[in-house]
Amino acid sequence: MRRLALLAAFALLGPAAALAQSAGEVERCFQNPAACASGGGGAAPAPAHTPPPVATRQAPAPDYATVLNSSEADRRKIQESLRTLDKYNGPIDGNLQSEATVKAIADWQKGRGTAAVGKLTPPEAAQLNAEAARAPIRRIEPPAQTAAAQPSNADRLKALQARLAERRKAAEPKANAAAQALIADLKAYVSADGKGVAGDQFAAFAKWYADNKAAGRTFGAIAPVIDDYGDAKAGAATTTEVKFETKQGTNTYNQCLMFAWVEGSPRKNAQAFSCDDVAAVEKWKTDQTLKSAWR
Amino acid sequence: MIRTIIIALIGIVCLGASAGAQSYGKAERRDPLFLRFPEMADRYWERSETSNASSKVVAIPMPKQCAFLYADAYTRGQMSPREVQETALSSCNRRLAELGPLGENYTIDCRCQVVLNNETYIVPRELLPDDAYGPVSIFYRDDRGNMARLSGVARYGALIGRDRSVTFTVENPRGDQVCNGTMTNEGPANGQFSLSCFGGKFGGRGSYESKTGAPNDHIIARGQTGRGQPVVMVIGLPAQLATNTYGAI
Repeated sequence: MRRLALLAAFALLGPAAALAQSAGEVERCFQNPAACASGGGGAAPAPAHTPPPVATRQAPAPDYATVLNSSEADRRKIQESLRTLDKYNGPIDGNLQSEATVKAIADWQKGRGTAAVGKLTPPEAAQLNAEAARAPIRRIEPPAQTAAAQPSNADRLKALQARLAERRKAAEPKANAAAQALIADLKAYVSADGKGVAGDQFAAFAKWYADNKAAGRTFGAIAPVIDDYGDAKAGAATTTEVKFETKQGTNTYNQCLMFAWVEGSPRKNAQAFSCDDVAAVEKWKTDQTLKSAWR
Repeated sequence: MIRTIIIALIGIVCLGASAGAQSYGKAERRDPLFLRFPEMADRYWERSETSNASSKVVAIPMPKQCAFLYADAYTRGQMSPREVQETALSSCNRRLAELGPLGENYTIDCRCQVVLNNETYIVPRELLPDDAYGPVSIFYRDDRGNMARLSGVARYGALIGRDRSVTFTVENPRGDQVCNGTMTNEGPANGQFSLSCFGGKFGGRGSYESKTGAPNDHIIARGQTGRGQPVVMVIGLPAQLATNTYGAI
């Protein structure tokens, strides 16, 4: 009889505890914590002999056995998911306790910020499979005889870095030409004492120049450092940091402006920013839909 | 004659009032405002190009719980002090506007205000941020795949990344404290976090990372509840931006 009473109590308490963790209940508790703090929010009121709240109960040991003892198809599926997520490169044999699979699971767990135990609970397995299903790029399964010869992730990373370097190298002549053309215009503007296309196109630069001149400064070296380059919706876009050396008496000042424009004659969507204003520069790139060939 | 005297009196009163309103004490390098925004502190106090400026101004969104970004402006005489203040203010407003609406996090109106002018506070100290504040979003997916999106305001110690451990609290938009937690750093910009809400009925733990730069400096914390369900917490981005950036869990 006492056992029956205990079972009945657990049957009542179980759903209440589950409700406290449902997304809807969590949102309700967030909006109205007072209604939640005392007895499970929208859940049925707890009986008088309520045990300690959920948080103070001893957490049950994680259930790893269920996944390890699941069907071979399920275990293979987990390995396939790990492979899709680029965590696993071994055979799809359903052995979740092989060294490579354990390491792959641990890597995946580490990437999510959870303890890297190398074994999965049922919810984790479901999350892993769901994450793999959402992965945008699906691996093309190689023929069985060549599977073992697949390159490692480190090799792939090297190859990717090499491709990026190649792409940047290809873009370099155009980016440099664009930056040098700007520097020529900036120097011409300074030589003409505040007249020329650079000031017409970059209003912020014209103001900066006028302010410095009014402060009695002279202008020295002007040097560019390319920040980004690539195709945008209106053409080839460049962002370049330009360092200006200005002098006043014996003092030398190093100042910096970021120039951004789309190639054209005249330059299109041209703007100059403070070099500190990273957010504005990145927004400009977003507005131009710049696809970087530089980074 | 009477008109001249009245105008002169009004002028004196206005000057007196503005002079009084513009000084609430000298700023110091170790003030919470500078601990909260170390890059700005570096420019304001350390870097010679800016720290020696003839005019240096900081604007932040106010009231203090809105102060999750800043704008600083400097001049070496090219701009008038008024122009520098306007530059800081417009830059702050632009940044705030670029990050999108704050209505899901705050019920108050966050507006940029110049708070510091040439190392002197121009708003009362008790109104300035005494800790770090920021909009917070918490994303949680339950075991049925349903998503909870919680938006409010987080308050935490200003020294994340320097103190070994920093506690934080989360308030819902009505101002009720609903969660608290701890961030324990492992490196300059990362560590472990724990979160407990509604008297322990909901919580999670995992790791966090501080991200600087565009669109705004923020903290992204990813973890799990005790039942293994994913929880993501973002501090420093308005709810919509946080959802678009990190909401897909």
